[in-house]
Parts: sequence; C-alpha cells; structure tokens
Amino acid sequence: MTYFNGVLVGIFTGGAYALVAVSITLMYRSTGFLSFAHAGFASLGAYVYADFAGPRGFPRPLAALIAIVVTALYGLVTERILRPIRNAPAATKMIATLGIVQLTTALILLIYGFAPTSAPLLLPDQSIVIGSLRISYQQTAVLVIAGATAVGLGWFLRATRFGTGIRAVAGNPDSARLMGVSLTQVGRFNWALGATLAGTAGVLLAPLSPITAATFTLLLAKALTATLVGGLISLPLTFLGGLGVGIADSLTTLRFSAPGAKEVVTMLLVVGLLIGRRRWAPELPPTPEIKLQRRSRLRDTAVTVGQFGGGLLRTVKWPLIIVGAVIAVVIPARSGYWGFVGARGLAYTIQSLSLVLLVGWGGQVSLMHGAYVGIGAFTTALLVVTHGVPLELALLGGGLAGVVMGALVGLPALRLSGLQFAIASLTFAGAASEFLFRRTEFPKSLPRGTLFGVDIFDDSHLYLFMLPVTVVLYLVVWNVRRSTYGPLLISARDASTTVAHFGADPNRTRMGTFLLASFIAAFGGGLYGVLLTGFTPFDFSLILSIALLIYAVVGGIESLAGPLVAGIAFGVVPQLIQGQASTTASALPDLFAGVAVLALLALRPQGLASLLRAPAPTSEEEERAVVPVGRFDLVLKRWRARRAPLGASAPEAS
Amino acid sequence: MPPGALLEVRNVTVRFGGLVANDEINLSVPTGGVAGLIGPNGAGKTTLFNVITGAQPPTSGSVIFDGHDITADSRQKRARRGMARTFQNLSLVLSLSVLDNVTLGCGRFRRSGLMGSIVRTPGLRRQDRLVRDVALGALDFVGLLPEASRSTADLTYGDRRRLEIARALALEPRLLLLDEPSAGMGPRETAQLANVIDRARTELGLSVLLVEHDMSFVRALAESCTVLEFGRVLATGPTRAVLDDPAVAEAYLGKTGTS
Repeated sequence: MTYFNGVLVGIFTGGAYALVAVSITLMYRSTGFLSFAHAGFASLGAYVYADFAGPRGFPRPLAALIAIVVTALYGLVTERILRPIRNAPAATKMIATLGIVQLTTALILLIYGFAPTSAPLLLPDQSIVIGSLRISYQQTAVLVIAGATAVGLGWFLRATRFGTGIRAVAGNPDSARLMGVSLTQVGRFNWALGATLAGTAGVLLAPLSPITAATFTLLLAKALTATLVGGLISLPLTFLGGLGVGIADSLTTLRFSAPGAKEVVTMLLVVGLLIGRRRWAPELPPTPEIKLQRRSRLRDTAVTVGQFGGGLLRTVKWPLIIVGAVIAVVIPARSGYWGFVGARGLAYTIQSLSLVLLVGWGGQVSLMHGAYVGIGAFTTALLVVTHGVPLELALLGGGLAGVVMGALVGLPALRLSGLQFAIASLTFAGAASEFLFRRTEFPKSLPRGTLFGVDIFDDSHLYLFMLPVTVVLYLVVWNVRRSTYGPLLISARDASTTVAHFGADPNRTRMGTFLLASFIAAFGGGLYGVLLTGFTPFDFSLILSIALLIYAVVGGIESLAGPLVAGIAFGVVPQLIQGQASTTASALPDLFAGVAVLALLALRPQGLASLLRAPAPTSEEEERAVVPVGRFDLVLKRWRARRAPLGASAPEAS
Repeated sequence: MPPGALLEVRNVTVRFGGLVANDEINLSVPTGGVAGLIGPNGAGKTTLFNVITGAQPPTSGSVIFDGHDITADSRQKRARRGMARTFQNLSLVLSLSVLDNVTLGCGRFRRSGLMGSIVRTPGLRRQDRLVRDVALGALDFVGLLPEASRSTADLTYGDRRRLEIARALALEPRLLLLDEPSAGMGPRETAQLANVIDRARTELGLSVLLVEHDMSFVRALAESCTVLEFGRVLATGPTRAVLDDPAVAEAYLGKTGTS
C-alpha cells in the first residue's frame, strides 16, 4: 500500500474520531462538561445494534434505528443525572462523566458479558473504489455523516436562534439565563445530540472489528486528541483534527508492525499539541447557580440516612476501629480466601492513596493509574523472571520504573491544566496497555517466592506482608499532608501564581508530589502483580484506570480515610455480598461505583469518608488551636535583630 | 538612585498593542517609608504594580530593588529578595485553614521539603516549626491569632484582607506591596488596617508601597505620593503637597471625590 493510499484510509478511519470529537467540543463549549461519557454512548450503540441485528434477528436498519434511539434516550437520562452538578468545577464535571462511562460499561458487562462480540454490516457489503483502494460503504458512511454533522452544526450555531442561545451559554451562562436561554434545554440538546452521534459511530464501527468494553475508550482517546487540535473551540479544526489523527493511525500501521504503535503516536501527538498549542478554550468558571430549590424528598432522605449512618459510625468510632483492626489481622490470616480478598482491598487502597495525593491534593486528574499498576507489575515480573532479581528488590525496581514513567509523562504534563492532563494521561494509558504491555519481553506471570525469608505462596502470608506496607505508605502520605508541605501543595493546586509570588516554585512542588504518587502507584502495582500471579495487558487497560479513579473519588479524594473506605468498599464488600461461592468476575462493584460516584458528586463531593468526620473541628485542628500563644515576642525579636542595619542587604533565607 | 530609596522604578513603559498603559514612569519608595500610588480608574496603577511584582514585563525601563536590577527576575526571585505583595482581588486558598494560608507566605524559607516531610527528618521538623512560628507571629501582628485554626472561608471580608497582609508579613519582607488594601472595607475595618500598616513600618521597619483609591487612607499613611493619570505621572512629591495640588484635585478628586 502506498502512502497516498495510507492517507486515504486514514481519512476514512478518522471520520469516526471526527464525529465524536465534534460533539465533545460542542458540549464542552456550551455546557462545560469535558465528556468522557461518549465512550459509553458509542459502546451502548454498538452493543445494542449487535444484539438486535445478530441474536434477535431484527432487520439491520431497524436494529440500527433502535440502537440509536436507545442511545439518544440514554443521553437524555445522562443529562438528568448530571444536571445537579452543572455548576460544579470543571474537574468534578469531568469525573462525573467518567462515572457515566463506568456505569455504562458495568451495565453492558452485566447484560452482555465479558466476551468480545461482533455485529453484521449495516450497509451492503460493497466498496467504492479509489484507484487501487477499496473503501467499504460502511466506512464511507462514517466519514459522510461526520462531515455533514460538522458543517450542519456550524450552520446551526450561527444561523438559528437556539444556536445563538447555545453560543451565549458558552460565553456567559448567567447572562444567557437572564436573557431567557434555558440551560436545561441547552444541556438536553447537547447530551441527546452527543449520544446520538456517538451511538451512530458505535453502530457503524461495531461490524468492522470485534468489540469489547474497552474498544470505545480507545476511540475516545483519539477523539479527545482531535478536540485538542481545535483547542476545544473550533468545530472545523476539530473535524480536521479527527481526520488527522486517523491519518496518523493509518500511516503508523503502514510503517510499524508492532501492535499498539498507533496508540504511541496518538500519545506523542497529544503531548506535542498540548505543548505547542497555547490557545485553549477557557475553563468555564464554576458559577454558583441561584436556584429556587424544590424540595426533593429523595435527596432529603438520602442526606438524612447518610448523616444518621455517619453519626452512628462516629459514635462507635473507637470500638469499631479496634474491632476492625482485629478482624483485619485475624480473619485474612486464617483463611486463604479472605487473605486474597483482603490483599486485593489493600491493593485498591494503595492506588487510592496515590490518587489522593495526585488528584485530591495535587489537582491533576489522572487517568493512567491502570498503566502505573501495569508498569509496576510487569517490571517486577521482568526483574524476577528474566533477571532473577530477589522479589524485595524487584518490587522497589517496579516502583522506580513508575517514577521514571512519571518523570517522562510528568515533565511535559506540568504545563497542563487539570483537564488537559486528564486527556494526556488517557492517551498515555492507552499507549501503555496497547503497546508497552504487549511487548514480548515482559513475562506474563510472576511466580511467588519468598519475601524477606517468609514464604508468600499462601495468600494469607502475602496479605500479612501487605498490611504493614500499606500502613507505611499511609504514614508517608499523612506526613506530607501534616507538614507545611501539605498546604503548599494544595495552594499550588488552587492558586499557583500566588505560590510563585511568595517565593516557592509551584511546578517543583507538583512535580515532587507527582513522582511520589507515581512511585506509590507502581510499587502497589508490583504487589498487585504478585497477588494476581498471572496477568495480561487487558488487566491494565483504560477500564482499570477509570475504575481506580472512580473508586478513589467514591472513597473520598481529599481525605486520608478515603483510600481505606475505597479499599473496603470495592475490594472486600463485593465478596461479602456475593459470598465465597461466586468466583466469576463480576461487574456489580463497578455498577455500584458508577452509581455511587454520581450520587456522591451531587450530594457529597467529599466522598464517603467525609461521613465519618464530625462537623466539629478534627483532632488535628484542635491540636493546632491550643498552640501556646506569645511566641510572637520571640519572632519579633528575631525579626528586629535581622533587620537591625536598615538598608543593609538582608540574608536571602534563614 | 536617590539616597535611601529601597525600590526605584525607572522610566517604565508598558504598551499593550497601541495602548500605552504606563508611559515613562518614575517612582521610588524610600527605605523605611510609605509611598502612595494613586490615580483614577484606568490610570495604569495595576499595570505598574504588576511590573513591580513581576507579573508583567515592561516594554522598556527598569525596576531597581535594593541596588539590584530586578526587571528580568522571576516572581520567586523577587520574593526571595524580600518583596511581598497582597492581591487586589484576594488570593487566599479557601479550602485551607487561616494558619495554613499564612505558612504559604513562608515559601522563601523552605528548602526542598518533600523527601524530608515523608521521613520527617529533624531538620525538616525544625523548619516546619519555624514556618509555623513565623506564621503565628504574623497572624498575631495583624490581630488574627484567635482565628488561626479556623477555615479561611469562615472569615469576614475585612479579616481576609488582613490575612493577606499577614501572609505577606510571613515572608519577612523588606518591602510590602499593597494593592488597594482598603477596597470594599468599612471605616472601622479601614482604621484597623491603617493601624496594621503603620505598625508594620514603625515596629518591623518595613517599607511600603501603597496602591490606593481611598485618598484619606493615603493621606494618613504615606509620606510621599505619586499620582498617575492616563498612564503618565501627573504629580509626585510629599503627600500633602501632591494631594493639595489643584491639577490633582481636578483630575482625581473632582471626578470621584473622597470616599
């Protein structure tokens, strides 16, 4: 195949990216949601179409229509679910759309199972011929629809009254409301349109290759890359960006045979775009909406139940902690099964801990924690299996590999805002799972040996090793928070220029935290690898990255208790509910996580862990309150002593 | 450089496209003194302030601090030299406690930090203690010590203004740059604030540059004063003489009156 043909194929591949990207850009401009939910919509469209056109035997056009209508309705439901947080900060809104992805993926897995599925072609199996190249009708349709959508939307926004309303909302939501534009209607329009377009892409793409739950997160990564070309502002540029990403894909496949090479190119493209492109749609500032709150019995009940439960837990806090600690040590130590479950819970806790550091305090929304886990696991395996390094050192090596990765990704990422970093990390995670982890150098298993002379073949023993390790990591993170470095970190997140004005370096602060979080995540990944013993690249896909972030947010992304809650809620509780009988993988925890994150973001953004905290000052704050007063004389004296020779140059630092 | 000037602005010009925001401006802040910078809206006060703090590079001209040319210095470097500022629109981190906000001002005393914080080395703990002591001292100085452990979001507007000053003091600066510190405050709070600024000069020996709207505030605090209008210096000299200048009265007082 010649390069010319490669470019042509790329344009047709890029049609799907462009289609999704255009609707993401429009949605971001007019509602401030950087939507990852489009991946869920595309999946839904694809699976429903595959189901109706395949096993159910509907005529294909009818099946396609059903799929698109179902997806559009699902989009409207999504709008309703997300409406309560439409004035939240941009990062919160983005995480909520991830919750939609999580929920959708879990629903699909529940209904259709884990096995890849395929669908019959919608259009006749014929091709148009360009030179020596044959492009199927199906692919042509994707490109045509994408082009028509971009042009049509451009016209619609300019020429119609409602379109003007949408643009007004994008510029200034408050003024637009005062002028009678309904935010709800604009939201509904956007979500329905976005779902329809993404669903259409799903229906048309489903027959071209076997689909899994992860297929469309990769599509999303490409589409988001395309939105960067348009800077999340320009629809035509976004459309061209989609085609460009498609061309890059196609040419890469032509040139390199390694699987996943095109994901690496996408990642490089994103990094280049983010560094090169200065113009970027401003993040809509969170505007506290003045609304006449209707009494919602459901919300009131939920809040009451939550507060009551929290109060109850607070009352029995210490007995609960003691009993919990005893249970945490005794039961997994005596049962291999609970040892495994507990160790998995700890693995989640460690990842959440890293996310609290990075996302909660550092303010960088990371969608690459699955990749960290994978890097930790595979590096540890490589060191142990291939190079015969003792496991203790190999685990450390895994952690350090995470730091190296963190430095490679983090250095360019430091320039980015939260949303940009999220996109970059998504493409990085895609490249890692599709390219890096498929390298044959990496062993796919990690036989357990001994750790510090203790045989960890037994799950219970491994658990008893992981427990103190987790405690140490907890201590590390807690120390960061309680030192004066903690406030500095949070200030670098919320007011980075202010930090610079007071002589500290916000970027260095964030970089340090980023590397620490990288180490914790990859080190925890090594332990997770030891726990799993055998693994595949799919274990560390984008799905895991999203799930880990959602778990951490549900637990409480800014609190230290959060990771513990997350580990118990998603590592242990599902097993308690299902009982020991069920050994099959289940989508139920993820379903719960999706629902929980959406409910929490609307009602209690601080996460489940915040229920445990009393409204009164925490013990840490009380401790500070009784700091003896009167040191001021001392300080003043020191001050004066230093300033005694006025006009003489002052010492640079103390 | 006039003898005893801590900060000197020399011939600073800032152009935004065709708009000349600052035109050949000269200004100096004497060591241990308070200098006022006033002018009607759009006169270029904030632009000049940004040039001094390093947020806006000048088109031409230079800024001299303590005999060093700092025109090209980064914000961090200026802070380490001993310049501290407040923000017109308050730049506090509301999710942190009052004390934590002030420790932010101690940025220039912090060496590395992260690794030390993790293992809690004795040196780092000492540093943390020092930083907190300095911050508590600064809070006491502005009268906010009782609020140290409260959430910043709970403070009143006037207290937040003073908190900004406390944070600037925690830098242990030699020059305090205040950007409209009394904006939006009532008479009692303004008096309290004036007292804090006055004591910062007399007790701590700081030099102060006061960018202000409130004439009486400037009259009470500043010995020398510079008036900007349309990006140019309209008048400069001892405060009383400048403020009583008929040209100033016409350009400034005549339009907005004393508030």
